[in-house]
Amino acid sequence: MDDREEKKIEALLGGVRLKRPPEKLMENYVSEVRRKIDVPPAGPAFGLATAFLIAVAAVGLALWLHQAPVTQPRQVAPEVPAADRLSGGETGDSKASFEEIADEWLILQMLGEDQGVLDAYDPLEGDLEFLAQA
Amino acid sequence: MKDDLELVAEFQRGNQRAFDELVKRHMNKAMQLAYVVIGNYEDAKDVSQEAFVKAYRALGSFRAQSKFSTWFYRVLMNTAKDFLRQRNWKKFLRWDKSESMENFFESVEDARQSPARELLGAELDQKISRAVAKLPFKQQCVFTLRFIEGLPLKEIAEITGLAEGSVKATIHFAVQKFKQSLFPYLKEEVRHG
Repeated sequence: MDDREEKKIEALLGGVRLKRPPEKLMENYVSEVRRKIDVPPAGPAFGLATAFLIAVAAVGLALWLHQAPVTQPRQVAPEVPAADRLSGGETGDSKASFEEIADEWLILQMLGEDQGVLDAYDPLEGDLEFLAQA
Repeated sequence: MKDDLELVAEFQRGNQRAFDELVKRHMNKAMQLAYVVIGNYEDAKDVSQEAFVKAYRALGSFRAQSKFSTWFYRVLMNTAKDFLRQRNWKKFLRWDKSESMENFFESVEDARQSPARELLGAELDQKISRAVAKLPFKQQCVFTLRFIEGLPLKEIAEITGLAEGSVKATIHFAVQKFKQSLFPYLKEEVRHG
């Protein structure tokens, strides 16, 4: 900041001082401080304003939870016994999924991205090897 | 007469009267500073007394790394800040009655006084009070400590908890705002000065 500006302010405020407080107000100042010291400090207390804010926040949270979409538990398909998976011919669904997996496996092999895939398809490992031989 | 640090040492050794002596020495200044930022004497008294109570409770661990007054005025400023935060919230909810602006400066005979000041006198005191009252809390504190109390930057930094660079910047912004409020009177100053 420009020193000249500070000098101007100093010149303007030269001779200004803070007003002394009224004497009557200061008569028992020290004894009043003593009295306040002797009162044990109150524990943490919420003022009315803080309590109001907390109440508003709590109501808002309750409304939000009430209106939030209820999430359905993830549907996990029941495990198909191994014998049914192999034969598969009787049930169209098993055969369709089997062929889909085989197609995907061929595509992955063509792309050279078949490494480690078998780990994910561990239960079907035998089936895929069978397909690879076909 | 014992200085502040000697009184603090006595208090720490168990002499309660030493603390009373410290209160007597600093109560007027505490009231004055609290009044600048609070705006009325009743609340300024409560705030300054609360600051003394806090100082009493913390004085046992005061390590004399700064002056007692510097340390205490920091407690006072923080207490005033908490009070204003509560009061502004109440004002926002219209639970608090409006405060009237009182003049908290008075003129004294001073060789530094400029001719313009002599001419404008009481009217200018009121304008100065209003201009300072309009400043945000931090600028009010720094401006008052710098230009009225004449404290060095280092001490202002200790009282306010700001870095010296921040104090300088705050003074700069406070001066700009102050000048805007008092532009006609500052022009008068230039003419007579």
